[in-house]
Amino acid sequence: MADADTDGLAARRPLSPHLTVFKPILTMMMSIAHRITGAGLYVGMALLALFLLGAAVGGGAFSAVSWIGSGFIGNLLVLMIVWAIFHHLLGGVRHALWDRGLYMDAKGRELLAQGTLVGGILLTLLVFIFKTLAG
Amino acid sequence: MVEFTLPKNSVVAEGKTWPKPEGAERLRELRIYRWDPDDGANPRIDTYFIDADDCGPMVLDALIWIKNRIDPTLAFRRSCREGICGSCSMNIGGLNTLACTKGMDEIDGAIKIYPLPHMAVVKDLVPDLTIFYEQYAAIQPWLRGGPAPEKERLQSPEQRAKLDGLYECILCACCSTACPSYWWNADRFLGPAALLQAFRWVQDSRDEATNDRVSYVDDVFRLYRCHTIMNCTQVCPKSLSPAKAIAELKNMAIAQDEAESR
Amino acid sequence: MTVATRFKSGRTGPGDAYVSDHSGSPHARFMRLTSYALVPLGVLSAWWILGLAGKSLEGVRAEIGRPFPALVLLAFGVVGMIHARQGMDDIIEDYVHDKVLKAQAIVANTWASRAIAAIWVLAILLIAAPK
Repeated sequence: MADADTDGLAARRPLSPHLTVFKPILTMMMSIAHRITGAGLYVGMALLALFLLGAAVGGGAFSAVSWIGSGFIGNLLVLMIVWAIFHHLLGGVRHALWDRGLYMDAKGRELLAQGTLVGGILLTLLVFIFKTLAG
Repeated sequence: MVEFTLPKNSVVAEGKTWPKPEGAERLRELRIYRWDPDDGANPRIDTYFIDADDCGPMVLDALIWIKNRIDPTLAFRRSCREGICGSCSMNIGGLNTLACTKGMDEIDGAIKIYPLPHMAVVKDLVPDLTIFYEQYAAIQPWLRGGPAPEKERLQSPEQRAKLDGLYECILCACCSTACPSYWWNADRFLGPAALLQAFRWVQDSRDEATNDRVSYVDDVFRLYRCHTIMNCTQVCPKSLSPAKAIAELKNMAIAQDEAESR
Repeated sequence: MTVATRFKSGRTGPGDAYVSDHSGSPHARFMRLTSYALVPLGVLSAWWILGLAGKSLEGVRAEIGRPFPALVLLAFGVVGMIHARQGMDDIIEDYVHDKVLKAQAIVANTWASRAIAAIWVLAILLIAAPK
């Protein structure tokens, strides 16, 4: 294609604002959350793997990694991992529906985005309550 | 790495506030992105006030009012003023849309107007759409039907109906420039607009290049940078669904790939 | 990533992005398959992972030591890390444009995901395998 740029003007052109000006609509936020929980679970799985290895070896190895599963940080971390699993899982269900062309209208999109957000928190709470009652 | 922040020359500064129109009873405030290629300065946000009683109801009316009454240097594209030419696409109140079909009453408070996001700015609200048009050209948006027939190629009403929701696209670029994936990978990702058009020709009963078209888009970047973020469908001023077209293209590409690997 | 970037996947000229690489479809298909498996595995695993919080060494071993949780968690670790590796590849392809850096990141991801899965499997086998 013809390029009319002869004086370097095109190179001086600014880039228009994007992330900072675009309205943070829920569907986009859930997409970002899907990516963050996915990457977070990668790290979470690594930490859990170390925790399990420590438990398998026992003794000093377990005391070295027990922070991952106990104390305030450990409890919070495990709870975050569980939430991330549920949130990411529901995000996957959302994608599976959209891949089939379902729930793609404005109402359906909003419903699935809300469902991912609320469902992830709700499932985490539910499991937490049941676990507390069972334990 | 992708830059999530703006380059130095693109950081937006606060600009000037233009005087309010005299004698106006109902004012509307507009905050508009300005960049002048000739003054060497960074982009800025200028604040304008219009007399809402003297101006039409749409955002485009306000822009024309400003250009006529306050500041003739304000640059923007417009033509049909009725949502069919696709010229006046811009980011209004955070969402990409056509200035001519966006009512000012749909926005509370100051109306913030930026050019289409993550594009090279030619001047003010005018982005450089070269890449966008190259992507459209890349999907070969014409009938590929072999040798010309004796008579016209006929379509049944059912076959014609398959083009509904696709042929109405006016190539305003609202969808593509709303897509974060397109922001980071416009050099290789076709973007929602071009993909919707690709699907439009795939769906056309008269077109005989279906497999080739699907095969062309079947690429990690061209098609699969779409992560179903849904911004495209959210902003489309013609209420089309590029996301649905892309979902169908993905399913066709996957089916074609499965058939070939057997 | 500058304003001077041009579209490289066109049909108008050759280049490294000229030919469709057709790797997207198998990737997507595989991603979908692993997702289906991860729905039941994820729900069950979340239950037992939450059970690990605040447990003593004996408690953890007892939780993982039973055959059913051990098997499910084993499968979750393996399938999960295959899925995670593919997802991370997607992230790298989205954000890392430098060719050398990208190649390095892909290799690092391959080995990191394998290492995590290996440690995961080893740990569970050590705890749960019949002695």
